[in-house]
Amino acid sequence: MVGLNFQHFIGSTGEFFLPEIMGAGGALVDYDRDGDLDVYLLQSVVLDRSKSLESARFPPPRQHWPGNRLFRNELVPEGDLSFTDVTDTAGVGHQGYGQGAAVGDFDNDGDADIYVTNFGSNVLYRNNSDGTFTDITGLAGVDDPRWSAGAAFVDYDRDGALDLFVANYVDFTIRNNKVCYDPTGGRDYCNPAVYGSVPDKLFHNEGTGRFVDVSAKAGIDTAFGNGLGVVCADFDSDAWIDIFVANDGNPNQLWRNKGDGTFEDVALMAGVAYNGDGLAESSMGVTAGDFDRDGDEDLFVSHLAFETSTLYVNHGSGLFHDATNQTILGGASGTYTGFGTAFFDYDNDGRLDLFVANGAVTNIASLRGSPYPFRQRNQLFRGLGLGQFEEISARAGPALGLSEVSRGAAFGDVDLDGDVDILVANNNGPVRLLLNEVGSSGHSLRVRLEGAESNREGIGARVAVFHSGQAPLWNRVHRDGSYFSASDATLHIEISGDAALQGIGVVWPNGKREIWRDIAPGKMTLREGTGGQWEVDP
Amino acid sequence: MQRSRQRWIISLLTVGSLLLGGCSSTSSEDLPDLPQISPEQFPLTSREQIRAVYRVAREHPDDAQANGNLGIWLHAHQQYLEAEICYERAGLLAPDVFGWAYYLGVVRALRGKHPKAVTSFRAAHRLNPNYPALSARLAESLFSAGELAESRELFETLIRMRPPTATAHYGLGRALSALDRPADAVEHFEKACELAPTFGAAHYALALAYRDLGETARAREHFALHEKEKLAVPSTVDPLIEEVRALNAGALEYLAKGEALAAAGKIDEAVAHYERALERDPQVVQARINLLIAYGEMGRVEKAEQHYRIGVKIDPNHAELHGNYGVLASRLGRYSEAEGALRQAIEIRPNYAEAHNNLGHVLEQEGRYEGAAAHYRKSIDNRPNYRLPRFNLGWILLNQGRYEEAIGQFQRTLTPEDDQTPGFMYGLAAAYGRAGNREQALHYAQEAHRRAAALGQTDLAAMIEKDLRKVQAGQ
Repeated sequence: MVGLNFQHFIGSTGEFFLPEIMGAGGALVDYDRDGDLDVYLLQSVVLDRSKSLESARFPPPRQHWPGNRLFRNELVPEGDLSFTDVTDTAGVGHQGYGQGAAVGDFDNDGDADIYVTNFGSNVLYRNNSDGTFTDITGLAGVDDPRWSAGAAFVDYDRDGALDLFVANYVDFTIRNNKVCYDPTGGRDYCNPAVYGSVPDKLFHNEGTGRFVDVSAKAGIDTAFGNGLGVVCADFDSDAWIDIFVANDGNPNQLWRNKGDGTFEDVALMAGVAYNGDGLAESSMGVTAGDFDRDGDEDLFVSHLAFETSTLYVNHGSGLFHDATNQTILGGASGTYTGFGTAFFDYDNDGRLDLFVANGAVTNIASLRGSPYPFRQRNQLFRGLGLGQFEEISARAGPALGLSEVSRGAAFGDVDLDGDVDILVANNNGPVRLLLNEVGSSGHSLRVRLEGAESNREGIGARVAVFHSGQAPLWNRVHRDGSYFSASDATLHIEISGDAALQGIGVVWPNGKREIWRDIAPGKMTLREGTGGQWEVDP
Repeated sequence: MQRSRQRWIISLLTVGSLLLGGCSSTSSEDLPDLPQISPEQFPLTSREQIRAVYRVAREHPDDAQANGNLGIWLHAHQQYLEAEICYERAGLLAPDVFGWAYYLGVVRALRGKHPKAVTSFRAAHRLNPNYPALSARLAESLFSAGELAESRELFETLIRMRPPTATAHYGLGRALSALDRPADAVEHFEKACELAPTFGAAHYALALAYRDLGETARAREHFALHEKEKLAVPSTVDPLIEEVRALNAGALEYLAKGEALAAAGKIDEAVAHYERALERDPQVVQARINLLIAYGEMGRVEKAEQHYRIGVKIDPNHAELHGNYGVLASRLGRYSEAEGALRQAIEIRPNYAEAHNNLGHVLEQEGRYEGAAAHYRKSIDNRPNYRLPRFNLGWILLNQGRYEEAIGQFQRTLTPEDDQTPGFMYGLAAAYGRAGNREQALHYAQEAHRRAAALGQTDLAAMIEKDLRKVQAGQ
């Protein structure tokens, strides 16, 4: 592969420590602002510090470098897609038990900063705008020594500075490791239920480079579970960004932003705490998107095999119903354990499609005897409109035929050919960059936002695309969701079709609305304060 | 070994008797390959039986019974893919045997292959339409396959033709709900709840249906009932599946059943199940912890201690084992021993909220209030919605005259509202009283009294009433 040489190392020494099977993620981020997406990957270490690297059950490959890795994309200006490992220069090679990455320009200086979650203390890297980063975790006050999982930057109080939500998983310690078995009596990884949950964290960005833990003040600490995936969106259309936390084996949380700096967990009444049968599932990955094009944010949550993934359809006011069985997504996910996932338009047809990265967490019977019996293939579902999908994994190319233990998935146009590619972070395996060969239709827009009063990247903004005679197509500017991963915030919008494009409206995170009417295909940046007044939809 | 073998023969005969009647119409060459099994990778308790049925299946590849029996054993051990292949082979070899088609439908549904499950259940239906659980399973698979209209029709038929069951009404409600008929769905969810008042899923579905109709209060009521009985489902008669379950009654199954019984308050039965779990596998530490707790509650301290001692030998680093022993020792007033056990638990698991709270309690009993408060705070840090350490810390703060802080902790004990709320609210009333805020003290004491009385907590209500009289007499 084009220089993206990375093999995830789980540091297993045979004790079946739970963290081994959960990671890791990755990020697509243009850290050097050269116009192409670079790759950041999470790495692990030997978990039992009393043991050496030589005692690893799955030894790292010869070219193994310890610590997280940053690969610079050389497409711009070289012209060819290739990657160079710039970890040491950039100073982002934290050597911990890496889990996930959240990306956001928390200091509004125009470049992307990176927050790393670990089994152990977390790390905030501030981008110095010169190709290097500085670890400012202590100064910023955003560490959490517990087992952190998914994280997301979100401007929950609309003050123009990105705050930080960190989902924590379970209270696992090496000494308190439990011995668990599969149904045939073989040693296996434990169900997380044998360990207690630990509370999540919300850090408020003070705008000075410091954050304050506001979990208690904001009410976030009143409910928690085994947190994994996090996605932030305005689910109840009240112009305040809410937070959904996917909890593994416990009820999920939907934190409704009350607009006064506090949140209320409304997951139960919203219908997203449980599946349609009232059961808590092994929620892991999550994505939000308006897949049915009715103007609100729907949710898709990936789960353990034999539970099926769950599709929650939003009624428009933040109340949902489990519509899994009204699509093929239930049956198609039956034997798969899903992790990274996203609604995205892979084929540039204007409809949201769905990718799910799969890989088991307990022994797969048919793979018994193989050294790491958790491999599964990933899945791609094509949106057909009217809320329906078809699975096209088998005809989507050999990359979708690979059977690996996939976890994180990040989305963005890595080769700048006008379509969305997928970075898949595999557990105990090589990273995969799935290049989308659909290519540009020639009628698509790549839209980035630039906030002035709002946060610099416009994270949390809602963008409406108006075609004549059609309901607006809503998009959300985000990097969060999926599993332990951060995606590119660029919106890919298809404008081909019979209907004329009438404009693009932006609802900024602070609630202000602007519209741009003269739109041509290609790449554009919408700067806050430069659009027209948006009082009536076109 | 002899005992195991005997059990295998009995099991096969029993299963066979339910499935007799097959005749081979397909040769093994037309069948999917028999799955490769490694019997040595199955639990010791089943290994010999699996080895035997596997050998028979390999020696008699054209024998439906041999293939199906292997499927049953694999099914029992949750090897669904392999079981599906065996059932498929059995069904192709003996297409007129109900059991193979039925089992095939069951494992296909478990694997999320709902359209194929529908095909299998329909085949089974042609052979024996009267099998008790079949129609409901077919209707559920139709629902899961998105065949909502057919699912609805079948559930309606089930309700018309048989004494109505809660599961049929629930299934029909779900189908109607998915067909966007919430008012009709409500009627059937209500009937399901009426027929099976502890049917958690039906309460949840009813709550969502009420929510959609804008009846929020009723929705909350049924959400609360769901929370109480989340996993409870009405029992169904399904002898074929009971046969499968019986083949893998291992230690963990007994443990799970015991925990369900304990949750239902049936402690004696739970203890019997934990003991049976240990008969199957003496190394299951969780069974020993559960017995430690149960025997402790029953006053059988020696038995409880015995399980702790054995548990420590098996796994000296089991935080919950030490933590629960600490609770037992504390209850017996053996505070030094309790402190040791709880500190050991915390050393193994530093964020163990319950152990921090219990250690705080032990230290408080010994008058070591600063230490107690520190552990209550650690407990709260690690589990902010754990009300007990807040309540305990509140009292320490109150006794130290730190009223504002105490009130803050007591206030955090008021949510969620449940049967513990009156006691916590009484604490808040006391805090306001000591802080000199008579108005708030009376307000919370009266509210705590009202709630305690409504919940039948007569002792607490009487205690609050006594205090209220004193306060009012001082007016």
